[in-house]
Amino acid sequence: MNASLLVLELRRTRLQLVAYAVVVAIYGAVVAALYPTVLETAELIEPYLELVPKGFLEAFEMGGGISSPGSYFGSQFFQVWVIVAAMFGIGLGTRGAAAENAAGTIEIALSTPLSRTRYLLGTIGAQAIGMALLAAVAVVSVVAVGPLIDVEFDLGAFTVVGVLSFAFGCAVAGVSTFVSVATLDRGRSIGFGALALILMYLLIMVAAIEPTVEGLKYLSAFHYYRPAAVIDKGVMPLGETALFAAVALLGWGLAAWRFRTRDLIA
Amino acid sequence: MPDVIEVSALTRSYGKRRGIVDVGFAVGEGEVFGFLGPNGAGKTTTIRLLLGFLRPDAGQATVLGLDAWAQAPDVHARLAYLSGDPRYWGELTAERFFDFVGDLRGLRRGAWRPLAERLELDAGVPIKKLGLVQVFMGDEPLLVMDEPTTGLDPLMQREFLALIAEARAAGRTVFLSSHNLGEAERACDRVAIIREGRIVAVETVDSLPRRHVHSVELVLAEPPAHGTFALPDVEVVAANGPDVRLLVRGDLNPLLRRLAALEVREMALATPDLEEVFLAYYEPERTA
Repeated sequence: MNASLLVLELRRTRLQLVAYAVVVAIYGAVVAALYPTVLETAELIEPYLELVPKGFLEAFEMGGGISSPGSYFGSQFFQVWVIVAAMFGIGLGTRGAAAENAAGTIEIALSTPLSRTRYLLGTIGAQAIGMALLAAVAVVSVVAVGPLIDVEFDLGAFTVVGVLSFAFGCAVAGVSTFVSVATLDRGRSIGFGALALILMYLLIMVAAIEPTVEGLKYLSAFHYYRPAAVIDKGVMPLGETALFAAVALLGWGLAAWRFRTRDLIA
Repeated sequence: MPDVIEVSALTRSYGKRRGIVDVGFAVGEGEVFGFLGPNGAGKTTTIRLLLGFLRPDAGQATVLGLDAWAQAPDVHARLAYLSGDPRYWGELTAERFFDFVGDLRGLRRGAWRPLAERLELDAGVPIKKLGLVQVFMGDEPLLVMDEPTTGLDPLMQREFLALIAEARAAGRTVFLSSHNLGEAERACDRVAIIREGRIVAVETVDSLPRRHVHSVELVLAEPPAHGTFALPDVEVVAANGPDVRLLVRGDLNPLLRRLAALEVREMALATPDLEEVFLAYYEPERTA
């Protein structure tokens, strides 16, 4: 990895990162601030939730009702965070190869002694750092509100969710990077990423509603993103985190291999 | 003098679209080599193959003894490149941009300043002017430039020629593509002309026009009949009554035999300028 390139990538990412981070921070703080109110009104809300199919509630992290911290923050905050992280990951993942190639700026770096692999590692480094910051902001935005509303949130449990969320975001970025390198077409890469996420959402919904196709949920990344159980039980989801990490590394690895062996056609 | 660039039977297509076919030439150390051709002839494809951005379908390109594709980063360590359509990141000031590129090329911080001052680089400068600083700010032994003067004003074009002369004096090798023959004539030692993906000539700038193309100016007793000069490799450049100007590629004898049947009052044979040579190569089908 080249330090100058990493600094450049982070510099170019900062506005985007700040925008996403502000959205996450404000949303997280608002959701956290509303938690006492939700606890007070849970008796009124939960009867309505019983009308919803249980599988559907579990799919969207509300299987434990709305009053437990895990169910509440899992369904109301981290389910939104993954969408924001996916957008961020797709945006950054498709920039380093496809967007830079289309803009003609990729030749600036690649006509220097910097190898294609080191170039891509620089962009991947920026993706990982950006995603880590976004996950950290998510955790801090919730936990920091705790003292203001006299609720003590479990920093350790939320940090574990942050790690899981970081791994999820990196998986999205890794796959996006590979598609971006494979196609060198940012529009198609973004379209593929968005379509894949929508399909995975549909899969988990259909699997939750229709028992005969329940197995489809295993094809959805959202099935493995379970912050509610982590927050409520404080258990590190090693398998799921490792799965996301493996997908991320596979995507980035394949991207690096393909980038090294393919033509750069403007 | 060892060859800095060696290209042999280099072929590259884009699916069914032609790129370049069997391109071959060599550029010696310290030489300023022009690569001439109109848009779409294959100049940029050749340069992108030399830089290892594209993998050849067939043939080989070596730069400084290294395979242009397989050893691209090593090749890039010894050259500076200016794209034909340079783009820069809008988020960076020129200063930060040059420091970034300089760092990637292993140059000391601020190495670009003397050249930027010489070229009076300031805000709002044409993007190609930034490109000149980018390509000339180091001391790499090889400079590769794709249409470097397009978009430059005449003063800056003159400065560009001065920079080329300094590079030559320093023993650096320059490979530049252009469709500006006047520029190539002033800057280059030799040129290769590429047409429809194939090299049609590799010559010194001095020998190219004299060897292949002649300009013939005639004043006839009466206007020639239609088709009088419809001969192979003869092109009517201008005809105004009995005044006729012809361009002849290659052998003059068929034309002289045709003229023997006409009443010729005046005749002048001249070496055409490079622009006409260029047209002769690229528009062979143009006839009166």
